[in-house]
Amino acid sequence: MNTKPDKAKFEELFLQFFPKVKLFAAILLKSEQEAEDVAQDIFVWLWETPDLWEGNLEKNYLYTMVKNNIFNRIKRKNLETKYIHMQLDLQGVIEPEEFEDPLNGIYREELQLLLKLALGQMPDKRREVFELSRFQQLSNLEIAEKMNLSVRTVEQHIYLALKDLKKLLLIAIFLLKF
Amino acid sequence: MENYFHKIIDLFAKDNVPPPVRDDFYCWLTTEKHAGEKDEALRQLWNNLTEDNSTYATPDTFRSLKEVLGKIRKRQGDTRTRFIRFWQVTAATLFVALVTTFYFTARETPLKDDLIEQYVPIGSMTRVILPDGTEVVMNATTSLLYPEQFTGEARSVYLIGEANFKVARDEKMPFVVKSNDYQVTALGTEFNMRVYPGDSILSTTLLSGSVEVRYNNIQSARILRPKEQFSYNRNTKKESISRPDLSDVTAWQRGELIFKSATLEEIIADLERKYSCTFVYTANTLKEDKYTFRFKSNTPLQVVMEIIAEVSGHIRFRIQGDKCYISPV
Repeated sequence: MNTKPDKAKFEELFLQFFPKVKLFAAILLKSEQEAEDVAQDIFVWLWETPDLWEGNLEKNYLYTMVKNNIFNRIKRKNLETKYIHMQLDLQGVIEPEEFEDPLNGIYREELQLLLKLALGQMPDKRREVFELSRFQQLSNLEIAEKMNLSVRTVEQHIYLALKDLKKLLLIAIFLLKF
Repeated sequence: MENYFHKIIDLFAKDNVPPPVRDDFYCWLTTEKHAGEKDEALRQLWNNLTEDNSTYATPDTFRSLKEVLGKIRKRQGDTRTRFIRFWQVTAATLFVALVTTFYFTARETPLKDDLIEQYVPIGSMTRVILPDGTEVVMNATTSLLYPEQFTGEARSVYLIGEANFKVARDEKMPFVVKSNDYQVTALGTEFNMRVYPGDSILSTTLLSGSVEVRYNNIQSARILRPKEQFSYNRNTKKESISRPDLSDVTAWQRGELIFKSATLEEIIADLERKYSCTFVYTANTLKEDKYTFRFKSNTPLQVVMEIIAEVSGHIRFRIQGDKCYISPV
């Protein structure tokens, strides 16, 4: 049995897939260095299992390897204890009659995560105003005083924030009062 | 409903995710609930990245490869094994050989394995003299990797972009220029090589002497005679030989711009490199018509664009700072 891996083929594979593996990892881990580590790990490991790639490397197999590596790194961060369940009050975001999410509750975590991510995409001031209004229940006047803005500006920020969320989500948001 | 998962991945992939939300994402991602849907969304991301077949190895990829090979060696713990000399292998001789040459040449003392990277920014041109005396003139946005010393059986360098090589004669050590798709071997000769990542046609033109062109993935080679141009089309994978006007091929070295039956898109790619200007236009503004132009050296971009706009008749342009906006008439 041929024991020495085909170096030329390995290098060809490397040049073809390394950048993609690294990019995939970088998008999820948000760190170029970690992505580099993941990608290098994968290829060092691949070298030692030539059976996988001396024929045709299965792209799906590579995906599974990369995904597992990334998941392991995430799990090592031990984040379960920090997981915060935040209930969002979205009264008035979308008229309940217009859209009905029939699977109310099944995708609750997904909805919440989506909203948090959507908030993260907003410009800072707008997000701040929105959070003060909806999460801390401050009145527009209180917000205006706190942030040294006019009430009109505060109203504008909230209006735009709701528009952002509506646009991003386009789904019915059920009321979750904490 | 299924859109939630794709949307989450989409949003997460953007820049503005504060650290606490990142942690929420990681927790969510790795929990068992809805694992199938989560996996499907991730696979979609993976497929989008890997479906793109036009990716190009960059100098960084080669550095990473060097590191990986180093790690592999350490794991094997074997320092006196003799390795294959890749540039002798005809089929898949990739540039990597240059990198690995310094690890795998059979000598007692470890060789210096530092590669020098010469990069020419947009809008300029550079001349470099390699350790063996070979003169290289490099066009804009071109990268050349070469070692501090040429050792081993061949003088190997790697090119991304366009350069003209005047190879110093050395019968004992052939000079090899490797690029993403094929490599060129010469003994003592002058040739122009144009292998930009964005181009669909890659070409090498022999000015004097003789060179051999060899593909990376196919076991075949072709010898060029003086004044012949070898062209390889990455899309159709077809090659062809022609005899272009040599002064056209070397025009870039004199600062001239020559376009022969080129689409506006191709013309703009060259203009961007030469004038370090970013072109802004919407899809379908530039049509597929082909044009032939000749611009003398140092023609200002304003003049170039006026002529192009006039001749094509269907575009307008406006130059503002380092951007050129093109719109339909």
